[in-house]
Amino acid sequence: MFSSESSKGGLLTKLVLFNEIILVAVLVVISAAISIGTSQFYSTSNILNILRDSSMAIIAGIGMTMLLITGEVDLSIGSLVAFVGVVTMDIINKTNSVFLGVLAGLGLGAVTGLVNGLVRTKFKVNSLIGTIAMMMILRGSVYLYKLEAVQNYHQLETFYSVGNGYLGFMPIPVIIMVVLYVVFLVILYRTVPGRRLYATGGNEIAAKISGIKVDNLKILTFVANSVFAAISGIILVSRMNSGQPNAGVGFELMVISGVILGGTSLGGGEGTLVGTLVGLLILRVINNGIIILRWNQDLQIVISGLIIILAVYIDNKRKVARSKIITT
Amino acid sequence: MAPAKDAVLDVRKISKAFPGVKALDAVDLSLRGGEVHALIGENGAGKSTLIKILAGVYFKDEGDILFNGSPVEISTPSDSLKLGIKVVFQELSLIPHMTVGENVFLESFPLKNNRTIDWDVLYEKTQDLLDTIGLDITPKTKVYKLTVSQQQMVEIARALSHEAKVIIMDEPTSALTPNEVDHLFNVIRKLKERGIGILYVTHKLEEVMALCDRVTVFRDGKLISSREVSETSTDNLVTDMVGRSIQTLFPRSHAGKGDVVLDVRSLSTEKKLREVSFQVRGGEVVGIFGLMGAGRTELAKAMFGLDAVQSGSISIEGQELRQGSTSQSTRMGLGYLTEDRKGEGLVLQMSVAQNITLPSLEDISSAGFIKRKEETTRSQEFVDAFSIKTPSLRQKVMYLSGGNQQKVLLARWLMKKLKVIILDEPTRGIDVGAKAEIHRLIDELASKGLAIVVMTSEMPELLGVSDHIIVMCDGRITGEFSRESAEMEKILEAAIGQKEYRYAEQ
Amino acid sequence: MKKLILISLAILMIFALATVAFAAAGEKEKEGPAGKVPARVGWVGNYMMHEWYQNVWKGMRQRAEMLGIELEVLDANLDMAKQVSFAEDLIAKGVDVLIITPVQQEGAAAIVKKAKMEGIPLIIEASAVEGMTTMVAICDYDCGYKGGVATGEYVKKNLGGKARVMAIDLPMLRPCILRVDGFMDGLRTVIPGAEIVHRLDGQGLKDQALQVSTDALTADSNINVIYGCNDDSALGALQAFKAAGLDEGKLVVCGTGGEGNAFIHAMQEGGPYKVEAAMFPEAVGYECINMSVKLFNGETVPEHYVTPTFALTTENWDDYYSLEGDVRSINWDNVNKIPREDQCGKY
Repeated sequence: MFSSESSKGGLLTKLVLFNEIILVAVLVVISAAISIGTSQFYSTSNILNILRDSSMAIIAGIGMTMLLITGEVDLSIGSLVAFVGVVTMDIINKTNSVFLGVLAGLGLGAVTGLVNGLVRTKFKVNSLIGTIAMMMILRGSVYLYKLEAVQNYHQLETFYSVGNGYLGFMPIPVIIMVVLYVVFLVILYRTVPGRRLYATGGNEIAAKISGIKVDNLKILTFVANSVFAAISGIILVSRMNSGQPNAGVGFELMVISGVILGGTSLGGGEGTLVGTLVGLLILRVINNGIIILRWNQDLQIVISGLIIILAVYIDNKRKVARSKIITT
Repeated sequence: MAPAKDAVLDVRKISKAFPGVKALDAVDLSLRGGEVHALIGENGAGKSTLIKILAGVYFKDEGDILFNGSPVEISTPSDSLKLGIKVVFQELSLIPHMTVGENVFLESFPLKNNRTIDWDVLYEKTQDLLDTIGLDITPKTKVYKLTVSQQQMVEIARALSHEAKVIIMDEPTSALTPNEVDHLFNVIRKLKERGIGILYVTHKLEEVMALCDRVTVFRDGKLISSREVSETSTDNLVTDMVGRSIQTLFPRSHAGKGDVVLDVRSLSTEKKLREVSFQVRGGEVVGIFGLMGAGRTELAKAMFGLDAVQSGSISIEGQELRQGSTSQSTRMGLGYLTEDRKGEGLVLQMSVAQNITLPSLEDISSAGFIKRKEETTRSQEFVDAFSIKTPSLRQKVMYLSGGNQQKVLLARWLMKKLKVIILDEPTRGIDVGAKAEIHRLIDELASKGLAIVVMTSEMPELLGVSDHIIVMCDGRITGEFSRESAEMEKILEAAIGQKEYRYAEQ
Repeated sequence: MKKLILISLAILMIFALATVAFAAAGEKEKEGPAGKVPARVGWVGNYMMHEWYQNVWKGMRQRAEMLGIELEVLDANLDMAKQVSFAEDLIAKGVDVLIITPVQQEGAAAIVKKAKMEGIPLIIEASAVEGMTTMVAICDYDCGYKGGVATGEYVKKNLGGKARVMAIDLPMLRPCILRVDGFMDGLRTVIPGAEIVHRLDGQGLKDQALQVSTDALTADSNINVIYGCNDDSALGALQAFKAAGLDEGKLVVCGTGGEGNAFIHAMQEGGPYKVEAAMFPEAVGYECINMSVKLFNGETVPEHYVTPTFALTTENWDDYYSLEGDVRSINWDNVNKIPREDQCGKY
């Protein structure tokens, strides 16, 4: 009696329910349209360029997706990217060791995530507000730490290759992204902690009652999110060849937009890494396309904004379609 | 079924299908003016579909609707209202920030010179209606300040303002206290006197027997029976509803009582609980009764560690529970089926299997990886054992009916090796067939040695299920009864706080 | 009766004398101790966190020390209301000359009025405000122009005489547009056929410049000149060029501003970064103090006093700047010799 009720509603409703398929279709359509407009889109160098450039956002997106699934958000990752870049470059300069620099950058990420997590769980501050505060604190602090950009003194080869190197024909940032992506895909879908993330975001009280240590889980997810952002920051500083205190402006908005475009809900309990990947690629492809098609660059923001509105609209339609099917 | 004489509303051979399911299959129903006609049936029997057709929300596929003998077409809600049919849904459709008067005349403001609203007339008329119903509030009160029962009355007043001839009430007493239920019944009787026909949809068979003149039973979209209430009994109705005879709604096979498993001593919380003490033994079912606000759910939450405790202790098999740690409660074998199953119990976006296995993830995983096969096998066991109706284990629980959702929650707890389980209103809003099954499960659990606490506000359930009854009022225990010594009047007295009854265990 | 009149007259006299004395004393205070150099100068800056303004401040400080002037500095940090109240504070405290870097032109007009009312000489730094007496600022167009000319000469000598330019602009700010326009005009005086292949919006940020340049280069990588409307833009584009694996030997990069030390490092590396359209922030501060002295002495000053801009190259940059570790010092003698325009080529 009830299985048949889930087929209520029109064809559009059914399609809308298969979120990822639509997203991939959108990506394919947009890519096809751009490559009709210019042959350079489909060149190896452009595709690698797109992948390399999106790898930073996608890596951050992995963390952000997990965080959003638990029902929290982090707006400080843009400022963190800048701070990590500056610190990493500075430590490498001072110690001549890429390892120590990277360690410092990741450590800074972990500590930031820990603070974000504690502010949320112990002080019960809403994560939107808490991380906006952190965003301001980090941005202000990076200028206190270094007013000027930190130049790369030693020009170490290892450092350069993090952001710019290749393994075979694959850019290293892309390899880092793929490895992290696959690992966390498995963690999210096949392991106990992954399941618990969804439960915590889906219904926190139910999760608590089921014995899940919700607070600890959230703190861990905040830390993971910031460490991912730190990794992006390290890749960026390598590509820029200097630690810029003014880097990462708007990064958090772009990542969150891509994640939401991919179907992750701001309310928690839902979200897929596949969606995030496709969502962020769509945004990046649009930006890339506008430049290589020689359109007015201001369109980048306009079109991205329109796509996001469309995504939220489809998401709402999906929720309505779903509520019509629910019987009780 | 021959149409009754002076039927105000006559439904003949109405059918309605949705993709994949026939919700109504050539059903008949006739409603006389001045009668209270009950419509009962399990969830999915077609009652709400029929109501929605009469309300103009759905359109019938086949069949006729006759109003006062003449055929009518109802294609939109305003058609239905114009005819004089008013539905009072479970989810009330009042606007909270407006006054009673504004809500009552929402679709039909009395006008001065056909332009501006005549507020004086509006409030005067509202007062009249309220007097008719016997609702003692001023018409300028804002609706959000009223209790649910009062809001329901406002809806009825609204129906009267439209000079309704037929009022359909959908599960009207689910949120009412016994006093408020009495009040509602009085109002309904007054409506009867005015010649209004009332279609009363409910799960509660006692109400049917107490209030209604005739009763119609639907099952699986078909009409099963339609009789005078005086000519039938609860057992007959249950048989009609479920399609099989249920010997008893409250099976009892467990007998022996083991050692004390749950020991609550002088539990007090800041807001509600005052020195609550009781014990539950293995294999025993303790029923806790209380009116709204008595503190039952607060007790459950405090026991489980969700709320802070000021003083007192909770021990399971002699080991004391640490405050505020829900994970410790679970680990020590305490399970809690919440009253608000959607809000606090189920993760609606997750599947049946995922919800069932949620507290037991470590049992079905190795090295952190969930063993899919084992998850499937274990959850399938429960789905079979409890006859949970679902197209697959992967179906998201939000699509299941209330009864089946409750079974998923029960399965979740039973998958863990529990020692004590607290069930808060386990059969609320669930139809008779599913209720009986849940009671059977409770019995089975008890015979396996589990200590069970059932919190309920339904007297028949309380008396039928419990070995030992505890009554709460205002955060204190005001009554204790054994199964044999329990009497409804005494229980109610204790629940109101009028008297205190302490019977020692024999 | 007579006694009464005499006494009241006497009291009136005393009153009058006191008032005059008071007034005279007040005048004296405003005139300052030596009469040649103001005792106190106040500067209400805006967004002083930025490298550029840190250097402006440095220059201002150095010049003030040289002349023995007490300098008080406050940062309005993008808040117009704060700037007005800081300006009022400084006036109340008794500064002899006030300098402001306006947060906003309309809001700053209020400060101009107030300073005029109080008789305090006011210098505007950076962007024009209605009713102002004088503004100390660089000429963006001419600065870009000089950079273009120097770049053109390099291209002619070393890169075959054809110029295909990738310009990183910030179209939201008019000064930046002027720089890019100036650069192209200057370039074209040496290489008439110079082409802009890409004109991109890098938002003045290195990571943004990197991203948009990477995309642009995949569309068309045949460029041999990179121009950035500030140093970060130029450097970001250069990174993109490098990452694309293109031949740096066939490239010349020109930055603008010299707000920090990044350009010096770049020039020292021996890579394609050869030209810097320098704006000498230190000199801006320096000239502000000079202008304060002039105004204080009642001299007539031009409405726009242009501070020096110059095209630094790998050959001559160390005549003007020296770098020790993280600290750079400016060579005042040489910088002061740089000829200044009377007016900008374009506004």
